[in-house]
Amino acid sequence: MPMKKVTVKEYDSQDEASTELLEKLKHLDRRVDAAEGGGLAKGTAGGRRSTACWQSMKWKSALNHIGLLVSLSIYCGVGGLIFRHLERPAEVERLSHLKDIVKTHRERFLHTILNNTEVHNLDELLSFELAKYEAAVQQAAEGGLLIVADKDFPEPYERWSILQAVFFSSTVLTTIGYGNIVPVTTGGRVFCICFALIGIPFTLTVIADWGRLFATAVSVFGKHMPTKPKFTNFIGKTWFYAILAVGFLGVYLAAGAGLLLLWEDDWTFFDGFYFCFITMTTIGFGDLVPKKPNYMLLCTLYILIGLALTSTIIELVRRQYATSWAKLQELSGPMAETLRRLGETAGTGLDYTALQKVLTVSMPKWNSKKNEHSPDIAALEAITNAILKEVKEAQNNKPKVLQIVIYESSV
Amino acid sequence: MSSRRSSFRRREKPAFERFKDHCRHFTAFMFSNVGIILLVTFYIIGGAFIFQSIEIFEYERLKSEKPHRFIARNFSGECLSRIWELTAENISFFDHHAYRRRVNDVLLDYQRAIVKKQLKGPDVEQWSFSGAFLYSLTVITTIGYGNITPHSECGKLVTILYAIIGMPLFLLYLSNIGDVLAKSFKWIYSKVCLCRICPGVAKRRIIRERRKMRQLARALQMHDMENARGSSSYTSTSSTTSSNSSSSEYTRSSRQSSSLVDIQYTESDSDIEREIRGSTDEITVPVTVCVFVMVGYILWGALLFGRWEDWNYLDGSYFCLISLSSIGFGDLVPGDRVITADRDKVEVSFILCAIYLLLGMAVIAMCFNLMQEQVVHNIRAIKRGFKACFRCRTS
Repeated sequence: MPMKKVTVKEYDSQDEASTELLEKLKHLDRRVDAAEGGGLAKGTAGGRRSTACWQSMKWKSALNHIGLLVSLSIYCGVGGLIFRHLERPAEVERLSHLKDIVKTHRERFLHTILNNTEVHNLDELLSFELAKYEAAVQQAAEGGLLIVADKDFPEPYERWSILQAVFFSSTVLTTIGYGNIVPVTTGGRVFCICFALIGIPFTLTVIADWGRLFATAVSVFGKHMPTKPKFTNFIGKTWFYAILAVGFLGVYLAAGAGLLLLWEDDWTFFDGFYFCFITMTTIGFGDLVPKKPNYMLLCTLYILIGLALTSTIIELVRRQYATSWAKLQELSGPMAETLRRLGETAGTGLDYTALQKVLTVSMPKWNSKKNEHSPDIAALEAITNAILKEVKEAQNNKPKVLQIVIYESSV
Repeated sequence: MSSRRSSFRRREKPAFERFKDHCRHFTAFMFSNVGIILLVTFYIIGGAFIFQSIEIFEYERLKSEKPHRFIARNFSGECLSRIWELTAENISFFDHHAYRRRVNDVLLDYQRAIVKKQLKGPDVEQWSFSGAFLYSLTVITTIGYGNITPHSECGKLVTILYAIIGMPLFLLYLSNIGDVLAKSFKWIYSKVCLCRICPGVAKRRIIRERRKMRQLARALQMHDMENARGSSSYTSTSSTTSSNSSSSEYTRSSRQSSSLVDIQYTESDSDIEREIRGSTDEITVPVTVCVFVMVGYILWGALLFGRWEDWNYLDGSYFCLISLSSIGFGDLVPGDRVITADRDKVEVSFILCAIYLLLGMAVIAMCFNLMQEQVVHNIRAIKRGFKACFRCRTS
């Protein structure tokens, strides 16, 4: 404290630039003191208040993440209900229409045979009627009508049930799109377009958010990991993390394949793995789709977690790249820009703010260290102020040639 | 020193170094813009050949191992012969109800056979070169129509490997081509919409410069006031010091803005091209223009597919949106309706569809890049305004 007072008294009559720099240094010191005060979690009022703020922030963040997921679930459910509302009447109508066509053609065929009185013309007539009946049956089969020889018409397989519709909505939002169930009516297609346009960015936002959350958890877990394998030095940290990520994805796909092997009766392990891979990459052919409706919601949950894990890996790679890029930018960006500006304004005199920016860029690095170097910091402050004062006087004197040599040393 | 330098410069490089240089140049070319396009194209064509050969080989192998499965049974003739036998039986003793029931059973067997044949699956004829090409494209773009899928184990395994290698490659293509298209579109937008001759733009520029001069004058006045206040408040309390620090920050920012204005005047006098370049860098394309470009591309695609495939506008728009957003249901696929008419037309249609999808995904990536820049710019402006308001309230 007395040192600061003496310093203030000494620089009472200094010029404005030195004053600004000194105030900036004080501001940085105050910031460092506040950070140190915040770090202490014992007894003090500041510590207690910061702890309360930290807990409040944590709860708010958790509520934010869960709120996003719940909002997405509600959006998906409401979309599924609307799709069912739009498509189910058309489906029922279409199925009954196909059923009537098949019945009509069969009755016509029988009627033709029974009412025929000419025997020599029977072959051609039967062949013609049978061809028409075949076309009707093919049309019914393409339309989704199930025809079994045991019964006349079995219970209709309900395509647009609630679970199926919600599953369809989830495949639209995640851009998987199996194609086993598709909207056919005009209203259904228009709603599908609007639903996708609004929902897909929303889904990507939620997946990115959970990916970032998982990335943070992985970083924290990585910090607390005590020992690392010895071969990381041989391969390299980046490649080790990449191989670990790919291995983890493979294990996740294999686990999903195992679950599907339990659920679906006629699938092999390779079919399950193939389905999981096609789903995780959002290709979604639709040649293999889980048929039992009870497990479709679990499948949806599996898909969301898988996409979040993929986003986690992408986020981790992005963070590492961003860290390297930030370091490079921090080193070269402002310095190069300032030197370029100095070069441009060399003829008309020295640019004062550019020089100040250079010094302030290199200043926080020294201030971030502990109090052990406070005499050095004071010495650097004095040197900086002396340089600025000399530059100011020289600029006032307006010499034609001005040379300044600055030595930067790391403390 | 000089002799060593000249000898080092004159010495020929070893073969390994020259080979390394050639590899480096080749890699640089491959990951440039033209190289990326060629790489993606050849990757898709190679994938098409691989999948086609795998599926045809598998089909031939199954045909040789299990020949009885592939004999086409004549269901129609069989049904007709059974009905004829029933009719021949019932000529002497005509029983109406029994005859009807027996013929009904025959018909049910017949339609069961038809449905089973219908649900059996597609033929190997789908794996022509164009079909395999479209399949490869849908794999690496993650569209995945599902109208053509591999049935063999080997085909599925190769699909997995093909996707693992191809999807990062396609993302790299989208990143590079999207960036290039974004820069080109921004340049075109600056040329068309922000030219110097337009009177509205010139007026807006004059207003902006006048506003900037007014802000500069205000900043100078504030600077003088702060200077007068600051010289008499060094011995006051820490709260006054904090307010001084915030006001000094404001003074510093105003000084920086004044220096920026000076630099801008200097540069405007020096070179027009530099100014155009700078203005191009500063321009952000508005979101409405990006949305208009995307909607225009989808409608153009609807028009094209309507002409090629006899779809109406809603079906075409629906197909384009489902494809470009990489959902890919597969209910509407090019080549369905023309499959029986002309094979060459189907080939051309598939290839044109592939080109449309490749360009379309790049256009979508471009629009998202531009919209992202616009959103970031707006957020930064809002943050600056909020900070200025907060500073004004504090002082």
